[in-house]
Amino acid sequence: MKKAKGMEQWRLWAQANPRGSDPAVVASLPVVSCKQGAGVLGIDANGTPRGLCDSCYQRRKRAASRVATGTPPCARPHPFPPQQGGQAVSAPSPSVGLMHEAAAPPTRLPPHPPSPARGDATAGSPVALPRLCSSPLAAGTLDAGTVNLVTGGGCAECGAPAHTVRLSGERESAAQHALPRERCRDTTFVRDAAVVAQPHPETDAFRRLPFASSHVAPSAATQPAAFPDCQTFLDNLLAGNYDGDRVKSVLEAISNAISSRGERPEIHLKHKNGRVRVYTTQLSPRQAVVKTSHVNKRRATARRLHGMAPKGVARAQRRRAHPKSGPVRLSVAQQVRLVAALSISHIGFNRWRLDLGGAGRDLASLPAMRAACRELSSLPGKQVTVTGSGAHLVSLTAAIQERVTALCAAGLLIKRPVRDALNVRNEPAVAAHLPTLPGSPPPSVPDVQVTLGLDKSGDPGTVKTAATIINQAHPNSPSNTILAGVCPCETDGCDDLAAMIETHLLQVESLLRDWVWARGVRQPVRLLFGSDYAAQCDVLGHKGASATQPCLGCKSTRCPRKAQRLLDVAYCTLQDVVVDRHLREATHFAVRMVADGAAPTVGAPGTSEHHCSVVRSPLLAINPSQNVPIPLHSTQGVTHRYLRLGIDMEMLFRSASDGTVAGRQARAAFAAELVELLHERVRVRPTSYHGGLFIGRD
Amino acid sequence: MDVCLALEGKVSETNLAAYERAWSLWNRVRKTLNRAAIISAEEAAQFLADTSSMVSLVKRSFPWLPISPKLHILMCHAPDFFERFGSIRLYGEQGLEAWHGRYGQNAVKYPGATELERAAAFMREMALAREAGSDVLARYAPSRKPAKARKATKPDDKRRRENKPRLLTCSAKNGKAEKKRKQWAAKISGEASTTVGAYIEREHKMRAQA
Repeated sequence: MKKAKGMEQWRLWAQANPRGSDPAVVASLPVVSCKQGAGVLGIDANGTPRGLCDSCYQRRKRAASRVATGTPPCARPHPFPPQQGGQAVSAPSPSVGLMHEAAAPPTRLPPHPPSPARGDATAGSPVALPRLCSSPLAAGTLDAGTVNLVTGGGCAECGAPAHTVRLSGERESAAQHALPRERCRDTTFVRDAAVVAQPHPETDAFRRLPFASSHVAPSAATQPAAFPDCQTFLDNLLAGNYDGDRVKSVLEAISNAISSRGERPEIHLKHKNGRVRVYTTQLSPRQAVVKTSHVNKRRATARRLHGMAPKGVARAQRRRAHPKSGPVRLSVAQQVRLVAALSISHIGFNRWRLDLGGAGRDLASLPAMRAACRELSSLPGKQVTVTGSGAHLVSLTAAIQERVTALCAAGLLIKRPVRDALNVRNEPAVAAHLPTLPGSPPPSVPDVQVTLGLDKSGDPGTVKTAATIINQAHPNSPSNTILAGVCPCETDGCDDLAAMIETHLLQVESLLRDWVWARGVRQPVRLLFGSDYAAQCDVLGHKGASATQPCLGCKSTRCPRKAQRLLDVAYCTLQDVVVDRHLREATHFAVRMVADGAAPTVGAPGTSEHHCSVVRSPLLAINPSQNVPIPLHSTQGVTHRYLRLGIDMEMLFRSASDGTVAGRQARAAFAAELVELLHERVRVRPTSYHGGLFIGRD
Repeated sequence: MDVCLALEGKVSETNLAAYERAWSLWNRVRKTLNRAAIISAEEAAQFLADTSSMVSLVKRSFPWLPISPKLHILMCHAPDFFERFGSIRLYGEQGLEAWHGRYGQNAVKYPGATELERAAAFMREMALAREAGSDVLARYAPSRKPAKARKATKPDDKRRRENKPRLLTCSAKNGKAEKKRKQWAAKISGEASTTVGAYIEREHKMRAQA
């Protein structure tokens, strides 16, 4: 043992304990005042000076070799910090810690005898000894007769603490253990003759276990180095020689190792009284319904038994496989599409590719990207032309056909049956004689439904035209729609819209006439018109919301007036809630279309020639029943109207009770209260868009 | 509802009850109207009944409120569309509105001296970005079940609005928001004045004529 602060006090206390107890045994160990290598402790059988850790020893060896070869020495790379008290040798400062380390049995497995297969330098040597750890100090304790056991020491040169030295030794030991496994060799502890002939106190289980118990430990110098046979070990065990608490864990490990050895259906255990108990493996039925944690444990067990990857690895692989398959190699065309969808420049993409190095070898180079981009852009469905009105797709028909073909190839084209195509309730005679209109096939024929819409937004404003194929999942997703045109403009009046949509009208006409190919069959196209109400009116030549007959689906008048009494009688008004409706004919807009320069007919009110507020030639000959009822704008408009209704009620109530002036004041006060209420409770704020409604949440 | 609670004691009981009923019907109608899925025939019939009840109620209880073309479309033509096509939202204008946002975000990234050139560059890129390949379509096909949102059931659940902390905002933003709220209140107050004023005037005329 190394002399340390408080050592003498501890030794006095330990020697006062009963003889044979752990403190007394440890206190009997010799103490050295200083460990300065071979000068004090000598060298071991291998010629390694004691009191030095491996690092310092190797450093000394390198310095010696440099001196021999004339190379200048280099500084110590990572000196350990100085210990307390300026001692060069680490010392276990607390006495309790010293006692524990000295008295505790080694918890490491017995070292393997050196063998040529492990590559030990001392393999085959007659002086080869098992090493406690890599510290020569510890190794020296086995063959030195004067020093039986010294633990807790450190390196005498670098001052490395004991645990550091021990850790490095354990690493070396672990590496020696792992070496045969890496070489696919089974580790067998076969003792050769040289090792058998040497005393082997450290690997002596018989010696180690009683040392930890209350029995008097035989010293390494007097105890013959021999492994106890199993019978001896069992006798000692039954005799109660291993009753100490510290050996319980070792005994449990031995028991577990015996019990789990092999796949034995039965385990025979003979007791002291001669009775033999047989333990048989029994399969019990598993509980069918278990909780999640139990299920997870079962899965982990199954993975372990079947040699599958652990759960974390499986999860990671599943994440990588998202959405359906494993790693996918994108073609150059797909990379072009991805780059375009993410709005990444080709230069930026190439920078990514170069920075990824080897990982980006599957990405296309800049010339390849540009070539693929040129090739894809030459397809008819992707060509863009610029006119005076804006930028437009050259062939909307080709783009729709391309999309339908891709959906068919992927098996994602969905049938959208039309339930009752001629649902004209109040005019059955007219409905029966309606001719078939292009873009409005009979419901019995499977069709491809296409919605065309245009809308103005933004500052500066742009009118965008988009076509949507309804026969797919999520048809309103921008990636599923076809942007047909973008037209920068200041106003979106009728003439402006006519110029913007003119490029696409011929394409739409061709689409309705020639149909599209789907699954090898030509299918008719059902054209629906979906925009906001103002755009619908502009395209269909209607006068708008302030017209006499404002509805695009029926002929009802806006409100009863004397000047339009005939129309009111013939078609009723919007204010008549429960009345028969008089729908516009399916060909109403088609009939109203006239050649360029020709004047549309006016007709008398109540006759089929009457314009019904369609005063200009419609740009699209669409079936009025296929005008989409603008759900978004209807929702915004009705919600806004309901909020205003509350203010109306407040004003009317106060006006009736307190007069008009009080009503106006109450109106303004409640409007302010309402907007604050929405701000506080719903956390929304008014905006200039969304129909003048609210947006949130703040 | 908060708006109805704020009106308590300020309007007649009859009007308030009708107002609450109108909001209740509208909530049912708008849920069906904005569902992007094919609805059943029963739900379509319920939609028809609800819209008719709603418009009838509004017309009967609030005579000064005119039936606008949108309200008329909702009452008369939306049920027919539901009956024929099974859904309205699938055919709606939301996809077109989404292009506005995408254009506003990305158009500045494309080179061009004028707005038209930028629009053309944007169009070209979007034409390329259209995932028309069958392999890509199959890979990005929706394969998951829609996740059900967990509802807050406990009073101390942090998902509840009252348990969420208010975000800190700068005073300038608060001032701007307050100014916009005042503008909105003034605007809607003016609209109400026009409508209700015309109604009161019409009522006075009718009484005078009578």
